[in-house]
Amino acid sequence: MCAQRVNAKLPARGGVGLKADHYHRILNDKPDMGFFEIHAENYMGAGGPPHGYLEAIRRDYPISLHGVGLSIGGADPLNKDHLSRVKDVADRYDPGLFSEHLAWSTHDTEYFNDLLPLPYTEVTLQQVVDHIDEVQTFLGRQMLLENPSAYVIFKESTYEETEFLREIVKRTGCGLLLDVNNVFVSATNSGGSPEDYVDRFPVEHVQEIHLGGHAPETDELGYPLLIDAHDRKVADPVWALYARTIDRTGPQPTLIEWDANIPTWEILAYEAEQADVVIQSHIETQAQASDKRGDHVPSA
Amino acid sequence: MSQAPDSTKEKIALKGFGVPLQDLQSNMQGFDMFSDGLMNPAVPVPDGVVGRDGHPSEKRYGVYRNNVMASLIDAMAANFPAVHDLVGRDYFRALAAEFVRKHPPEQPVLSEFGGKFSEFIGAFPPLADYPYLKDVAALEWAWLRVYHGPNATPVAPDVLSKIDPAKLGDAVFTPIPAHRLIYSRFPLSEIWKQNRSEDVEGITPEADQVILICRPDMDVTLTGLAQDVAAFADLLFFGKTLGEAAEAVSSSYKFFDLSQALGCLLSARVFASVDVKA
Repeated sequence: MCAQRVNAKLPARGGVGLKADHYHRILNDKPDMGFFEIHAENYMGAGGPPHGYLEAIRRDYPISLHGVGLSIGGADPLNKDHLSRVKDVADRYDPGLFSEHLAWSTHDTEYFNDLLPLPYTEVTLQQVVDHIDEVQTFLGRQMLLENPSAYVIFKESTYEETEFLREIVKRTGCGLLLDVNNVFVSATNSGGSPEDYVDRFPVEHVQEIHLGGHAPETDELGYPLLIDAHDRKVADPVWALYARTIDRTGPQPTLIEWDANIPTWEILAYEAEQADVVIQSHIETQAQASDKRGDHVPSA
Repeated sequence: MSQAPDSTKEKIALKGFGVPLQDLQSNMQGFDMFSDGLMNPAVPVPDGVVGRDGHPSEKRYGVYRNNVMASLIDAMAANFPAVHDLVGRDYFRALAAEFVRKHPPEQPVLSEFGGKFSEFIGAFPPLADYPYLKDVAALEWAWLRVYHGPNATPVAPDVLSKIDPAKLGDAVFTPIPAHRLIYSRFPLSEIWKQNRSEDVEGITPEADQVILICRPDMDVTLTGLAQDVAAFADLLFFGKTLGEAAEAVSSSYKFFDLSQALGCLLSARVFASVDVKA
């Protein structure tokens, strides 16, 4: 079934979202890339070309499986059929990681195809915890939960997002996916400090990082309103925030998300290389600091 | 879940949940309110959803309204590119918006969204003068189902040479799962060629077409079938033996040519197996 695949584990390097536009380029040239991330919902058909390409790509690269449709943060029970289809994709491709969002997308029977925000209260905390328990039990694996990008503030929230996530991890044993662009977007939109957010984040549970481009707009009061558009390069202040994040988390698999106005392979691959540069620079700085302290570094 | 009587104001803790029922209800209302306006711009920004000054912000909530509608319309455009090109971008987006509001997706796999689009177009009064659009949408939907359908290996076109001619009448033909037949009064093959840049095999650009859509390997193929061949294929797909199907079709179409019909279907590679009934 899984003939001659590389190991599932994601390296602490840059990776990119897998796009149909790049299937041929990847299979023909086998570019040096840390990993590919796929949206689970794009590979839920029974067969056909998407699976044909992904099977071939999976032989040479580890895959990170990213769900966008489970509605973990919603008030309704999870869609069991959908959860079962997520499991089918996970079983088929043996991904190194599975992640979903602290957000909701389904209510009553309607699927909204957007990552919608939730207030952070005791009630929503319990909802999210129950849903993550169900997902992890059903999939038989740990999941990572991603911090969302937010455009609004809920008056009724009683938790800071970082505390909310910390509590979820404590109660479910899930890991975290830290989306640094989302941190920048949400903090800017709410008038907070992205650096403070990263400094307060429970980094010991982070197993993957996301980076992406955002579109700058303003709200009706003239305050900045950044949109998590994934349609352009990662912004400079987000790269700076990423470097700060890596200093706290250590090297992590880092995904470049670019889902609209999809660029050429070269431009996308260059973004992933920039993540490698930041990770490498962190490793070198750590090594120098440890030399200065005279730490004994055992040779490999 | 039973509702707490209004007279009892006390909070009822649910077993194993630890959250007062009253809070659960108000939480559910919060999700209801946030959802209500996502596809309906006339619904005001929900209470308690605010911007930096603590007041409701149309622009901020509007980001979600826009994401929801724009992304679902984009999904429709991806699933129905020929309909999109035929009516033009602006018209398609308005049409898809109407469709999305009337038939929002009920699950998250968007390649499976739009199954009712053909029917919706057929019943959409402003498009009454464009009756072929309904069929184009049906063809695109069938194409999608075949594209994402299960893989199966078709039998070789010369499979019948391995069957004892005396038993051929008892042969049962099982189709590959990734196949559909689409019937139309309109020259869909021409429309398809012009809007999807793909040829339809073996067809004259005339009205009253039947198109066989199947995926014998990775590529979806379209084959035009004569009415009698289509009727024959339909009976075989239904599980009739070759003999039964040929007899039924011959009685309705006096020029039915069995060997030509079989040749056409076998070269379309739509059969996964041919077995002689014991």
